[in-house]
Amino acid sequence: MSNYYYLDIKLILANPEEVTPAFYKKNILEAVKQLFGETGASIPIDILKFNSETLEAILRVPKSHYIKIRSSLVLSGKYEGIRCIYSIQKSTPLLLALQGDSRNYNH
Amino acid sequence: MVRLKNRYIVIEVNPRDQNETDTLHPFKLSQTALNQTVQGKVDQLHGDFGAAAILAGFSAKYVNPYTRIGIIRCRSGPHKLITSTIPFITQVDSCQVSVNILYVGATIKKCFNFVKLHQQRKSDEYCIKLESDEAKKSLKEALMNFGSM
Repeated sequence: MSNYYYLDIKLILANPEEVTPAFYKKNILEAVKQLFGETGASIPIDILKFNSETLEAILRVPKSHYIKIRSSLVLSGKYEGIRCIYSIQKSTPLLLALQGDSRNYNH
Repeated sequence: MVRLKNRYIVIEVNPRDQNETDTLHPFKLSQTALNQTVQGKVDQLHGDFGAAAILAGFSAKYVNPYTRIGIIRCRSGPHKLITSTIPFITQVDSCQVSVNILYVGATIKKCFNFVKLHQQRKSDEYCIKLESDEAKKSLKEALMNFGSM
């Protein structure tokens, strides 16, 4: 179907602070490098959209490495020394499917 | 019943600064250093996942300082992580080295047969350069020493 997987993720920090897209990506890469080493860090990951207020982002990762990326996001626990978690809100092989997300829908 | 499969990887550790055919100087390496280097490199290249995957059943032995042969034992499956890492090893115990994989076998007997053939071939190669029978004999003995295997 598609060669990519799209992940809608949210970074939740213990002490909220300002996060730039570069630091956001750095933290994701560090998480992958911690769990899967330099071979993992060589996986091309793209941030398609980034919301600096809610710290939500849409990631694009190759389908073949989707499981690796997702598991390293789950096991990541630090952002610049602050405790953090990544909440994976939705993942899909079709970008359009991120459009209708009932989890964040407000009536 | 489930059988545990092992893989035995025969490696050749060549020091960078020494000539490859220079057998008169044995290249000594400590076993723990080799063990730590392989584990550290797998940790660097394959991360926590790789380090944990190879940990069970892993042991690295440096067998012969004259032919620079070492044997790594690991579980079948994660051995792929090790074989993909070995070419990237450049330093063991502050010595610049290059490591070649000679053979990957499933039983130690097959590895032993391979190493025997390999050492025989090497000893023939080196003996051509030597003059006296005494020297040839002592070289052969040194090369065919599998005491620690």
